[in-house]
Amino acid sequence: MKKNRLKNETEACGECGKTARKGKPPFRLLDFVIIAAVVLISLAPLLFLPKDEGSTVVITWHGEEIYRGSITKDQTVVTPDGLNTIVIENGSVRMENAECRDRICVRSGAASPSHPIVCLPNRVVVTVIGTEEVDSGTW
Amino acid sequence: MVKPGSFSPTKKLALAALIAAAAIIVHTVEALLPPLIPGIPVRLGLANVFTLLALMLLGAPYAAAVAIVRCVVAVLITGAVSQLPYSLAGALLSFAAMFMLEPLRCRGRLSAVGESVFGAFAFNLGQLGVGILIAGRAMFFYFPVMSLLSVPTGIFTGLIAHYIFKVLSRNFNAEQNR
Repeated sequence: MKKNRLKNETEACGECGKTARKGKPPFRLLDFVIIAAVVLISLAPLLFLPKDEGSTVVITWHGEEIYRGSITKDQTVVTPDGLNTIVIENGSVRMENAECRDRICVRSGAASPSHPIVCLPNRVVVTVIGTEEVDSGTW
Repeated sequence: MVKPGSFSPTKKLALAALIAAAAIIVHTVEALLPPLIPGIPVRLGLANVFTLLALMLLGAPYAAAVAIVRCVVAVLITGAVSQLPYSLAGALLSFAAMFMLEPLRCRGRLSAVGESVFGAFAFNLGQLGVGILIAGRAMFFYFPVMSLLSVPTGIFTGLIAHYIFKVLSRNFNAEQNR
């Protein structure tokens, strides 16, 4: 019986000269090791990565980034020329005050990843970079 | 008795072409199917069966050729050129991973299933790498899901490759011993 199997394995084809064993499930010990390793590797980021802080607020003024921080941190930011006041509060960000004619930015309300606040006359842009709002439809 | 793995180069080339053709068809048909889970780009990866099969039957150079030819031609057929970097990176990384494990399988420490699971994992890793390069770091949040799903899909494709290989090698042996 043992001889038979040996013969079976040596008269094989294939690059390394092994046929599959007859009539037995293909699984070997190392298979399970690999499967367990893959499962562990895929779960590892969930355990060890720092918890997602949510969205990030980025404020640019005259093309330069003047503020970057989590949306959960309450903060009032005044642009260097003192014309615009941005308030981050209760997980949302809005343009509190702006010294310009139309004040469109003030009226546009809270910013979101798909809806940044722009003040054209004073060249201020408030964007929210979301981590969870990936456009899954694209993929 | 014929020595193991001693197909003539012509036969190897013909077999590789045959395997590549089958891989292209499977890849194309699979591309037509909607994703298994909406929003997460996970497929069964049936086309990877053929890379593994070529690796087991014909050796590494032929397997790499099958992987590359399959990706390029399948993209030309489906017309989704933007997917080429994803599938190419995935297929090449998965080939590299399975190539690394091939000696272990030869010594009988491992079956095609483990090889295929690792290959599927590497495939997702390659796709994710390209995704991160193209679409930004947010893609990384797909990693746990995609990586976990590579286990069942890998087992499935590995079993397919295993049984195809079994039947094929039995036939080739019969042919050679005739």
